Amino acid sequence: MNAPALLQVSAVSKRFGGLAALEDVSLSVGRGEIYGLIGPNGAGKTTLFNCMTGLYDLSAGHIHLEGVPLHGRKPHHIVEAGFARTFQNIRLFANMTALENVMVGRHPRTRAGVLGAVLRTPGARAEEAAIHNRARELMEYVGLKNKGRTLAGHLSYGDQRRLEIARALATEPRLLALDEPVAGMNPTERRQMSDLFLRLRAGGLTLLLIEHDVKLVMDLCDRVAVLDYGRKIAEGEPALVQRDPAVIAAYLGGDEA
Amino acid sequence: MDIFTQQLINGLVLGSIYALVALGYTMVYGILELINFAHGEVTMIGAMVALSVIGVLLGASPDLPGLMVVIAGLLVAIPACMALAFGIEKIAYRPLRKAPRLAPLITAIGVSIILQNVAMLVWGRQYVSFPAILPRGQHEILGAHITDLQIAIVVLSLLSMAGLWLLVEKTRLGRAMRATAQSKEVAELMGVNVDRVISYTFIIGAAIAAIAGVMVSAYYGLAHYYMGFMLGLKAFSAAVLGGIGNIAGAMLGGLLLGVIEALGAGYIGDLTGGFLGSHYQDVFAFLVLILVLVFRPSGLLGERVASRA
Repeated sequence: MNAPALLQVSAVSKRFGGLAALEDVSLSVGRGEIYGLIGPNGAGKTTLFNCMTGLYDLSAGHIHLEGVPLHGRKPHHIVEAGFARTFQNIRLFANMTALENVMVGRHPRTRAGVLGAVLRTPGARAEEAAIHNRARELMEYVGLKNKGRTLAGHLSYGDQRRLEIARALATEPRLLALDEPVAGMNPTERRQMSDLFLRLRAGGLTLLLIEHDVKLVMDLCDRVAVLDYGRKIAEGEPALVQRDPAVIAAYLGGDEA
Repeated sequence: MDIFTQQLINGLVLGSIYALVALGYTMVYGILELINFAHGEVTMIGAMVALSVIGVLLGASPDLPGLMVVIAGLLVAIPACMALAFGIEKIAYRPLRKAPRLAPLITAIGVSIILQNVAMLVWGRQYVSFPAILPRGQHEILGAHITDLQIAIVVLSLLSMAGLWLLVEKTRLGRAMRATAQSKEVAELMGVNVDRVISYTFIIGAAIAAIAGVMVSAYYGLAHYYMGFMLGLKAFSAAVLGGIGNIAGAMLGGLLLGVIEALGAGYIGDLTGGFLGSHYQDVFAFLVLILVLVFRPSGLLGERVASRA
């Protein structure tokens, strides 16, 4: 893989007071890859997501998406640059309908201002219709057809996870970062989700995946990185990483033993 | 003349003005959880600016049709208030976005005092009268009188509320506002420019406040640098009554408060055997505020405020 990486994370550190949540983490995700980010609880996986999406300022390091710097930028700029995410603890707009949630995701790719909206200009109406149509297509794509009118908070758990993905896809990302997307799902739902991920990849999307489900990671990911105590301790093909002594020690608590 | 019907009409007219001002409180609270105490003063500035424009126009040519002059005043007052609210948010509230909640609240009171004093310096301490240039037709329904002005106030209020409702429920900006109200962080991660949405929220609230300011000064025939204080407090009470943060609640709360106040003022003399007169009408708004806070702090349509108060 010699093409320039889609996502380049260079020597990123994040400290909260005296606590180093991330320490000198570097990784690169290639175009069209499914890249897994694994590690024990508290290893810093979600912290890294939060750094990449602009929720946290970096203490050190750089992050680039297609050569464009993401560090130091506001979250909405990062989404515009093509980086979308879902959340480990589902964070939908619970009081809005499922369809409206996805429509919010169209925000960075649409323009209509207040004047157009208030005066109902043809341009604004056409855009609103396009937002609506695209949102419905995405709902169908993730398997939520006919659930558009349901309040997001009233959807089943699995459907809420799907809706988060549809909402993220609405922003037209180049890279979709999924934070434990199959947590709490049954085997059937897991299979449906991994099918969805493969379809997304086939459509040209790059996926960054935080996941604890070992089988899913082994089956899906082209490469994985392992974080432990904020450091990257291994990176490579899943089958190789699985045999790495440092990884085994991290998961089995080798340090303390 | 039927006192009940008459007071009901008066109450609805007054209430629709309260509702417009209450919308500004509730929209800002919905997004920032900030009670923007300067909002009443924005309303006052709207009235004052409109009156200045009206004065200038009438001074230049007294024969202009009254309605057109007032509309011209309104058309200047609206952008003036929008610019003012934009500036207030940017200068006074934005730097305190991450501060403890008490800090922006106190700042809001400070801004309110500053605006009152600036208005006093610019427009003076005395009452500014609203020239009698509007059509003064009067109609009778169900044994009560209703004037053209009262009808215009109610119609314009309803139109403003309908417009706001459409904006919030059916447009891209409205969706962004609702998303931001639920979670600024997630809205931002979905590409919403939260700072801009917050600016728009203040600006839209101020535009509606300008309309309310012009209407209230036309209704009472005067404006005063201190008028925003009581109007703001009552509109705030109305927003709390309806459930602060809830747009439909602000509309309902405003109308209800206007009716309660008007009926209260109409009957307080009879009820107390003449001991208290109708000038005690202000008591009712705050009585309602206290009762709501004691018995239903989340308001009539609200559901989420209790845990945060």
